[in-house]
Amino acid sequence: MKKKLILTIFFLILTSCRMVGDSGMAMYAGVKFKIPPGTPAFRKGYEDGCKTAIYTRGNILYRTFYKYQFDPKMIGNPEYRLGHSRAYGYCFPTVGSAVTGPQSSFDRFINPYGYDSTFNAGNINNTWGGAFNGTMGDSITGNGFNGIFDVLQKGGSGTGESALGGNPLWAGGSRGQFLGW
Amino acid sequence: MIKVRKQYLIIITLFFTSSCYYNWYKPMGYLFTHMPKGGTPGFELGWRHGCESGLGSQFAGALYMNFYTWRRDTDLVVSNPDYNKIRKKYRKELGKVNWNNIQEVKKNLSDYNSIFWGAHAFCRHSVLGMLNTAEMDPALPGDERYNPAAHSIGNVWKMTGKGDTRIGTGFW
Repeated sequence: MKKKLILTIFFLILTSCRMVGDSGMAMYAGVKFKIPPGTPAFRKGYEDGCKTAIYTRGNILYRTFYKYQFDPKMIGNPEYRLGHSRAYGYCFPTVGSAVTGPQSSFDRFINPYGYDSTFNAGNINNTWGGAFNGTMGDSITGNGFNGIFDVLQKGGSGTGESALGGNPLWAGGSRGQFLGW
Repeated sequence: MIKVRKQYLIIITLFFTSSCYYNWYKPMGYLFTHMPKGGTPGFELGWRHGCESGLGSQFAGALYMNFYTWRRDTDLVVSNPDYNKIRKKYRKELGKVNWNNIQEVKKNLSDYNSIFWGAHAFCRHSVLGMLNTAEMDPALPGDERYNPAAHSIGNVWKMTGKGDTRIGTGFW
């Protein structure tokens, strides 16, 4: 019984290891990249194009498994060329977006372009030179992002009364509610 | 003893020379080994020119630009090519082309044109990808051209830089 179970599991694992040509199936087991439906020439081009893209953006490990692929005999076939270029265009940024930056944890998808570990929510008021509480608002009345709306609230001088009577961006605060309500 | 050494020397030299390939002495010259076999002479010429042009772009940086440059030959891509000029210019590269067969000549020029940009993109992206893996980005206007102190040769073997495609990184 145990042997049968092991054999079944082993079989299932093995069947997903092979190169799959069916449409919608992964190029390799577990990989996100799928070959879309199309003519055999298109799908061959797609497979070759994607492998080429993975080589260009993959690290040294992946460069041992992938390489440039283009069948010179198919150069006159527009479907093959279309599949190749489409796959290159799709797989290239897909690999690139997932591999940018030093983060390699399982929650990487939250920050696909990398994660700045020195940044935390508490910095929001003074980050980027004070975008929300500094330079952006300084040109008007100071006090950061909020200051932009002071023009609407307090007039150009920054001291008068507002046309709206309140901050149009958010409700609450000391000067009234959203749009003055 | 001296005789044995000489034999060793010959064998080693043979090994070295037998592994030579187009542009083997240039940085990332091994990319040229990726050129598919079985193409027409025009295809091979286009692939090489495309790859060299890609490696000679700003994406690869100043170092590479000393070794490679733009190679796309306008003589081969104009609408009314001068076949005699091309034949003389690429006597070796297009030597196998039957110049009496106009269809074959046109096919070779068409192949040159078709594969050029694909090879260009492949080599340009490959060198950029490798530099990014080593945490090196192309220099922007105003940047210093190259700062060796900021980099380590060993960086190209980093597993955690750009190009980290291991399980759990979103690739799988």
